Amino acid sequence: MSGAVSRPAKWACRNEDKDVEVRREDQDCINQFGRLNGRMHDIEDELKAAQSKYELLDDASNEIILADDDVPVRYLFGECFFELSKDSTDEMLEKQKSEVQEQIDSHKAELLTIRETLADLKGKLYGRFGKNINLEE
Amino acid sequence: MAAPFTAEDAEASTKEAMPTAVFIEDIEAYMKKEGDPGTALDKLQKLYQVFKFIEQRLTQKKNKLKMKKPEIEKTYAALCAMEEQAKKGEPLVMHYELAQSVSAKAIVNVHESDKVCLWLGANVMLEYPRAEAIALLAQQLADCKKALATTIDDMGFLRDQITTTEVNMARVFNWDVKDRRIKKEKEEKIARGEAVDVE
Repeated sequence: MSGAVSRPAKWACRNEDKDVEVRREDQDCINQFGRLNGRMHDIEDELKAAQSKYELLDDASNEIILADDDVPVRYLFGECFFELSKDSTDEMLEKQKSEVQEQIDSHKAELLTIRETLADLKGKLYGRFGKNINLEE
Repeated sequence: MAAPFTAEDAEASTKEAMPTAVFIEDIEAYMKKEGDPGTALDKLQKLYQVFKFIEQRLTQKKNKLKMKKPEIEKTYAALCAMEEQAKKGEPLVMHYELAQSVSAKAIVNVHESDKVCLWLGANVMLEYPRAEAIALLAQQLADCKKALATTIDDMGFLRDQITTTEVNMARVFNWDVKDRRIKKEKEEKIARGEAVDVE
């Protein structure tokens, strides 16, 4: 489930010798980490779904190449199959494929920036709190 | 064909109705105000549970919207395909599921009639001119996407509140541990001091 509870910032309750006070900006960093961490998992799921959808569409368009030109293709819309000509089926598939590809690209781009920001936040927070903080993936 | 209405889900953000977690600027002052660490923790724990409850509700809402979106998309795509076919001036040949694993062939005269029926839920089906139905579905799809974005944003806001509360609880807990240790050291010192005095 994408909404699974993730606890990004769990505080070790061992009381280390050096006691670091939590400042407002630290709290903001921790909050941002929590948000982005959740968002990252959501996007990862969506990316996976989009990729498998793309594969299905790609398989379909490969199969269609082998089909007869003059036999209508049954294209699934919701719960019904519409009979479409091979050309328009091709067209629809290509359109869907490019849409899904666009989604994949934008997900990938967002993931990249999120991962960068997370790494940055991790460096900051571990630098300040050391072993007292545990930032889960 | 299903066209679930999304009006109720397009409602505005729930952010305003949510309680907010307040960052503890100064733990010493906070503990002085709260008095006993036990009660302070209890208070935070209660707030935490409220947040968890809201989180559950928002997750449910998100999942519902996520299920709805492809439904609307499917119907919308089907209507657009009908429109395309009508533009060609040909009837639409389709195979529909008559019963489980039994499909029947139907010829739909989309080029002659532009009426479609949308299933609105609650056992109501309404007939629309096709163009109107497409516009309605487009609107619903947009509403659904907007509601989904709002919900995700709300969940981000809630995440901040939860994280802040988690940190607050840990800080109160750590403060208590430290406080006890200091008190114990003091007592030990006094005990030792007294022992020395007696000797």
